[in-house]
Amino acid sequence: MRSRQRLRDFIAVLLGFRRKNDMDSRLRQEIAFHIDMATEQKMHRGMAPDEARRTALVEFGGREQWRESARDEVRSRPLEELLHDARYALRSLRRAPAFTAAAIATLALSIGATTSIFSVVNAVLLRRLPYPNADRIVALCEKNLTKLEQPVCGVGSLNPGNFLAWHDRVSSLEASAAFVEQRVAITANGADPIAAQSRFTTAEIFKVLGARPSLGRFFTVDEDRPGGPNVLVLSHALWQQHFGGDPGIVGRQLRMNENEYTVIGVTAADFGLYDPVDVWIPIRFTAAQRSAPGRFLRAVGLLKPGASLEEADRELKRVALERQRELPAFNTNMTALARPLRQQLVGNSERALWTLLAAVGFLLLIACANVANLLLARAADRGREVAVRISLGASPTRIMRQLLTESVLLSVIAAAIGLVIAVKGTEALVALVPSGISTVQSLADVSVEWRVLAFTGLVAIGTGLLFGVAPARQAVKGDVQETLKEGGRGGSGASRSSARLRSALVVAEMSLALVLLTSAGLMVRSFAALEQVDLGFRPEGVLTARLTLPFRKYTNDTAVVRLFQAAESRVAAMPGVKAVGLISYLPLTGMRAVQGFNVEGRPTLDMSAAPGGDMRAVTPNYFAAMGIPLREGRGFTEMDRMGTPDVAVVSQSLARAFWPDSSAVGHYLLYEWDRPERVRIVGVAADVHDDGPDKEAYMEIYRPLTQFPYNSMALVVRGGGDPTRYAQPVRAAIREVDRDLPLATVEPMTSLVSRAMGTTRLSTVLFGLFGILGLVLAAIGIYGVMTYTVQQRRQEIGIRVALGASPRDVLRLVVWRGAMLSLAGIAIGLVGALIASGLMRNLLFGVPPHDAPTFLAIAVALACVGVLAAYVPGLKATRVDPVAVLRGE
Amino acid sequence: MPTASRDELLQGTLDMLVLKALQLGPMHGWGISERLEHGSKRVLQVGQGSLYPALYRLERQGFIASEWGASDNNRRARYYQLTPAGRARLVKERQAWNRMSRAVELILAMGAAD
Repeated sequence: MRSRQRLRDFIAVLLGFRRKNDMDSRLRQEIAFHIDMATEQKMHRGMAPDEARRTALVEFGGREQWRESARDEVRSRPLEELLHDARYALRSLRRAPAFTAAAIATLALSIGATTSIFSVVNAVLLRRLPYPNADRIVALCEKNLTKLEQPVCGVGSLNPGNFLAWHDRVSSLEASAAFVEQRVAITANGADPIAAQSRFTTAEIFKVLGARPSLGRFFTVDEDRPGGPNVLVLSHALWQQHFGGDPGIVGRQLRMNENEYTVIGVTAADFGLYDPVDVWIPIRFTAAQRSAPGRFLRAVGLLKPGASLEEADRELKRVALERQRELPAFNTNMTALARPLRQQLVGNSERALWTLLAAVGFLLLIACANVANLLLARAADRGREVAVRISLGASPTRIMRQLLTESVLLSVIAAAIGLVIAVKGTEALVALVPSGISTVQSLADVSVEWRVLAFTGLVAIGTGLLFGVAPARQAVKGDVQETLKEGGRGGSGASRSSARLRSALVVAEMSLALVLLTSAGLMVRSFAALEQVDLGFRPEGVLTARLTLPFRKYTNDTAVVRLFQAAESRVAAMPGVKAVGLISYLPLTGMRAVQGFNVEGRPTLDMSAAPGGDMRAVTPNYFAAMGIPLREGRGFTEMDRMGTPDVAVVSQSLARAFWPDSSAVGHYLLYEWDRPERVRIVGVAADVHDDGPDKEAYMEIYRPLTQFPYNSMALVVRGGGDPTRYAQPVRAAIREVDRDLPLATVEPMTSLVSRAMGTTRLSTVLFGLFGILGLVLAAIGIYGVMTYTVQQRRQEIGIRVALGASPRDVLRLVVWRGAMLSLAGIAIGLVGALIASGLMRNLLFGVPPHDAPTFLAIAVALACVGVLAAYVPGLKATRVDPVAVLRGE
Repeated sequence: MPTASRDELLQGTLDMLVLKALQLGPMHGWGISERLEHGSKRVLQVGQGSLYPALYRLERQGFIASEWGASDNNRRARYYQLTPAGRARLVKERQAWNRMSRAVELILAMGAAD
């Protein structure tokens, strides 16, 4: 408590607040004394007491007025002095260009890095989401109580009937909407078909998100019913790209999946939620859909003003219980929940971002320690200047303020440069932004955002004070007479305590660097472990593209299958192509269709409790094209057709889960997809890490396209060399098959892989970068301190040499001291690193947070760097000429 | 300062006189005004209240320093004293004043010869 009070006093004096109150009471006392004395004098000369007092008051004049003008003399002080100090600081910084450049460069880099990371943290975690009622928007989802994993409200997993029950019965929600996406083909007046992402949604979505159309209008609740009109709303982007921003678009007819739709509006430019969407269409639930099983929707809601998330969550759970009673077969064990939209959008990148910010903050601290060291060295040189000024009547507080002004000025200049670095740096950090956030707000205006500016300003002033206070106190602490006599060369008590301070700073730097480096080391090892993970397929040399068939044109499954087969064989005939296959959902796209299933011959579980299999339709050549090895049995062949026995290939994880000791081949799976199905397992394929290398492989059930038709398939082309060179020929080949067939998202499989690793790769690189910078700064710190020590102890070293110490002894003396500082820093740093790595636990993959080899390697490396940084000044020490020293030069 | 206004001139003068009064030794505000009055043989009547803004200004500029002490009649009083910088300042001001008054004299003498 007391130290807090002292700190407050210190700050108050620094800023000139305290002085004012003191001044006031002092002035009152002085004037009272003056008038008393004058009264006394007049009484002495024979005046009556009353008259004497009155005369004295009159002679003094308006007391209030004089008090006021005396106060004015004080009041103008802080700002005036600040400007004066700033000018003085600029002059003295200009006089020491090497020091100034070194300090500013160190600070600008670390403030720039800190600001860049903060910009991302701000955009992802702090900035208001771009919806008018952002704080009231919640994500709604269903959760299976028997499954441990967190629900993913952002993935379709909600039943229409259940959603409608929530919509009607939860009173704390002002509005709510559910939606599902589908790939569609849009044609306008015989132009080339456009492959578009559509979102079928209930009408309240626009109310929940507080959207305004930029053109026309949105659809109403009335239009969102069975038999309602065929209307759609275009996204601003699609309207710009494919309709040239035509202002007459409203009212035009477009063909979508062979149906005519009327455009009724265009969204605002920055409107969106989750993934990018091209067209918004009323979902128009039919009576059958309202009561059908199946969970495929996503939902968001708007809390009533004043209603809390907890209230909504409680109500949802109550309604979920009602739904369990109403539909026990479908809803047993199912509950519901509401969570903040931001949490939904940000997912698990929150911890990674805060960790990065902490890491860069450590770097900034190391930089501060380094600059403080530079300032201390300078303070020693300036000892005489300060002593002269103190002896000329400048108060120590005044001088401290002046020195602090200098350090804050230094950091403010550095921050200005850092801000420029940050603007550039932030562009490189886009990959850190989770896709949920990047579709709703852009990073583009991050650099000019007030919060970032305020942050940088605070960091600048904070660091300026942080690295300035100790050296400034040191500067005014010394004995004036002593310093003047010595000629400011040091060796006094002040410079001895300054040496202690510098050593402490170096120890701090070393320990911070160790924490930073071990964290970086763990991240690098995690990343290496991720790279080592066998994804289950070979992405190199593979080109992918999505083919979506217009519904109407290919009305029956046979036509759909025939077209896909034609496209596949057409592409397979291209020169250089080794294998071509099709699959309903590519790995690493986050898309899947999960279906509960039972195993024949085992107890039948209700669908809500049954294990979920990831259903994928493939063509026989898919496994070869993607490079997924078959472990057992056979793959699909041309003989597996509609009408022949239903077959499936399952992944190893599924096979292991049910038949750990025997073969899965020959067993039957039971599930209900449109109709009850019974499929025979004919083969087992290697596991594929569908959600990225750090996620468990899902249980896959592959089915032949012929028996399990889909109208939208991904094309997988394996060729030799760079896969992108097949992009044009594949496009041409598909057009030959059907010129109305849009080909979308053509990209090499490797870019899907690197996108899945992108965030991790970038944060690993950043961690590594911060770690190396921290190491370099710490090494410079040790080097500086040891050089200074050698200089300070020249006399002692000279005497030792004169008394017969060998160069080796001298070298050992210096290096030993450097090693001691490093070891002290490493010991303290190890404790910090253990704590830090524990906090990073969730970010690590395949490496324990307290990984001994990493810790050991980093500690040894840091110790070596410390010794090396002391070695150079040590060599310098061996060249000290004892004769020159003893002569006093 | 070629176009010094009358107020500034007076203010500057008061500051110099206060410094001079303090050259004799540390003193409180009342005592300083007494010194000025006695010193000028009661010709100069310093507006007593204006003394305090001047004292605060000089202290801010670092020419004088102050601390609490006991007056002759044992009352608490604020004592002012010259700092080394104040001493130097007084010398400078005195030179400036001499130059200025010589110049004024010359001009007045020129008027008399006319």
